[in-house]
Amino acid sequence: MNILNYKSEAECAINNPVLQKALANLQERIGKGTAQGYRELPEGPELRLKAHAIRMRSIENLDILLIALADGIRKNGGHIHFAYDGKTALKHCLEIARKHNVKLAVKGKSMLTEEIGLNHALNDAGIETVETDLGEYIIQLAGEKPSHIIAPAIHKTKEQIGRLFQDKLGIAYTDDPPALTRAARKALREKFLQADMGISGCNLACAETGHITTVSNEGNIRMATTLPKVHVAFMGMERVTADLKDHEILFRLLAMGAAAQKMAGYVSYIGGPARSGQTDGPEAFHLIVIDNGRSRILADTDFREMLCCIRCGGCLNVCPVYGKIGGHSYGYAYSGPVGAVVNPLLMGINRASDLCLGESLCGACMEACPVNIDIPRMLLLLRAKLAQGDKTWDVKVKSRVEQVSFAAWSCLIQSRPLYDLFLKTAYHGQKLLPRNNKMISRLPFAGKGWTQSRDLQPLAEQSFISRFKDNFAEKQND
Amino acid sequence: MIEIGQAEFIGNIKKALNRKDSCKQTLEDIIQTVPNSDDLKLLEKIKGRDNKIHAALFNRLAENGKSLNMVVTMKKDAQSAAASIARIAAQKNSEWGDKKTVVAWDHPLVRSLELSTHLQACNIPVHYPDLKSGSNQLKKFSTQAADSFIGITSADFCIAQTATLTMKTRVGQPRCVSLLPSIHIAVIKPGQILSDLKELYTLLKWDSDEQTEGITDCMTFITGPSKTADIEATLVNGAHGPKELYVFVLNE
Repeated sequence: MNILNYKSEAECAINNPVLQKALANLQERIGKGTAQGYRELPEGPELRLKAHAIRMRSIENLDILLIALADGIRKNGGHIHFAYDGKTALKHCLEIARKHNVKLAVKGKSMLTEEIGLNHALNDAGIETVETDLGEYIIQLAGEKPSHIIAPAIHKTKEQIGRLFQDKLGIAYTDDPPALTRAARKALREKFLQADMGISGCNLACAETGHITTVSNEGNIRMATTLPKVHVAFMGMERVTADLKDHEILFRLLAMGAAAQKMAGYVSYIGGPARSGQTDGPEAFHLIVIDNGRSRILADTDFREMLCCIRCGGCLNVCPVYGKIGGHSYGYAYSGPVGAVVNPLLMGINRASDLCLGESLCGACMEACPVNIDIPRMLLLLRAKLAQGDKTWDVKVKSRVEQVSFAAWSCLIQSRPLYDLFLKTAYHGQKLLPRNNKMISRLPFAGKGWTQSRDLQPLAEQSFISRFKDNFAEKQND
Repeated sequence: MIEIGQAEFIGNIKKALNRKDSCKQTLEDIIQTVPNSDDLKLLEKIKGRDNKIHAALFNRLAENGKSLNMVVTMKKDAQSAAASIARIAAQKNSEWGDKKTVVAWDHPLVRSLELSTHLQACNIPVHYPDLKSGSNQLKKFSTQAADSFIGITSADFCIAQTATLTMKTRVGQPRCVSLLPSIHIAVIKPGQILSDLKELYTLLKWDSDEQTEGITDCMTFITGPSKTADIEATLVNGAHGPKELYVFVLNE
């Protein structure tokens, strides 16, 4: 897992004009397009509430659904593995690779494999692993990390990609997106045709039929799951839904949240290896179902709702904080508002505390969410745990100073004479503070964060309540 | 690393859900297992459509396909569809192989086009999966598909609302035909056009033929040609799958 450097990464991002332009463009087009798309749904934006109910019902019956899914997959000739943590999932995958003597694996985009560090593990085992989503491929060639759940290379310009391809693929320099796409198409096609193993994530699964589903616009996941002899799919345990007909609503909303589309380019239901007499499809199909901290989220009814998330990335496209600091600042597989809740819950609330403290609580993410998850509520709850500490989640109080200050403040504002005394003292005390254009430009001690990027209005000599008494209350009596 | 089996994994979830051991619920208890009156009405409605309604659905499909760079056209019969395919084959260049070749499904509607005859004039061979031979022959077809520039399939349904083709995987109807060639052409009949995804899922769930077959080891929905916007959010068709997608509706 990465070491989080939220503040310095964020500062870097804000000072990067190229990234700022890309993020603004993304939010202007996809963010607004999604909102428009919801309004144009035949059922209206309220369809998201129905989707929320569908997801919640699945989450609350997860035990039953996973058993049914496992039975279905086995009946169809596939294998299913349950992994309590990331390391076990990696072990399962490596064993499968060894058994099939895999040298080259092609991968579809999967944030879950990013979460558990699959590429590293495969490379360490001597298996060449190629990302095939164009954005992920660019990131892999550049040796970087994805900065957006759906558009991983959003932080790179076409000129940068042109130079990267010139360097790594040995093609003549071009910054023309179609020409660059063609170059990647050609290079990756060779990999697809040679690969022994295809790796995918899983957008949703269906317990009723025993299938997983994969979604892409490029067709890379179809390639990775059709051509190689083994297909290994990774699924977060929460992704399964009960009824086939649940998918009608969920897929439409997923495409709208992810890319402002009515429907994704390719959706595939995969329920096992190819059957006899079929020309293509894998000989073996393995599904690895992963917990990795999810059952802990499930156990807490305050956060259970977060498991409804279908990872469309829609909240990133409207978030004013993500829109400025970009995905790398979040320092982990999941960025944006979803990351600000999921990362602390998966990796430790203290460890990822900056993420939930950094979000603005404006509520845009909830409106953009295809399954209407109340992210602001959970951000606030995480902050409360950081402020007060929490045993169930092993949260230490983030700042003792802050805790004591607020306790003192609470005493102060509950006593009128004490508060008046405080105001008087503060009024005189503030004369010692540096000024900028009559505004206080720097607070001392714990207060310095308040004036880091703004000046404060000084306290007035007379409080509002006493002015009111002097000027208006008496006149009224007259 | 904590290695546990399915029972323990599910046990953890049960604990998290506060589920009592006495709970004997199964999937059947939480999903709809018999069609309700709305489902039955919708099935009736789909079956009872006449030519006029199919024509209206076609128009909607063609309109919605346009914005996805998907060409949906009505052909008066198999002959004229085959002639259109021959024209496309003559005009377009091969992307992968040295020479132009076409792969096609072994499907009655596709067979009715008599493609080999129509493409003979421009000396373009058409390959079908050879079902009688063994697995080597099947492998050979995948290679042929990888070298081809046009793949011809039919589909199970086509959804007007989203311009989505749906296809299950069956013997003789490989997935790679709609995936590996540069151009994908799907040939369907007007009766296969559905209004929206709700109709599709209602059929998949409640129609007796669909129920019997199940959704197979791989059911795919295709909406428009392959696309990406990963470089500066610029839309480019033909990322990995076909660059062009045509749907010919045979009105005969």
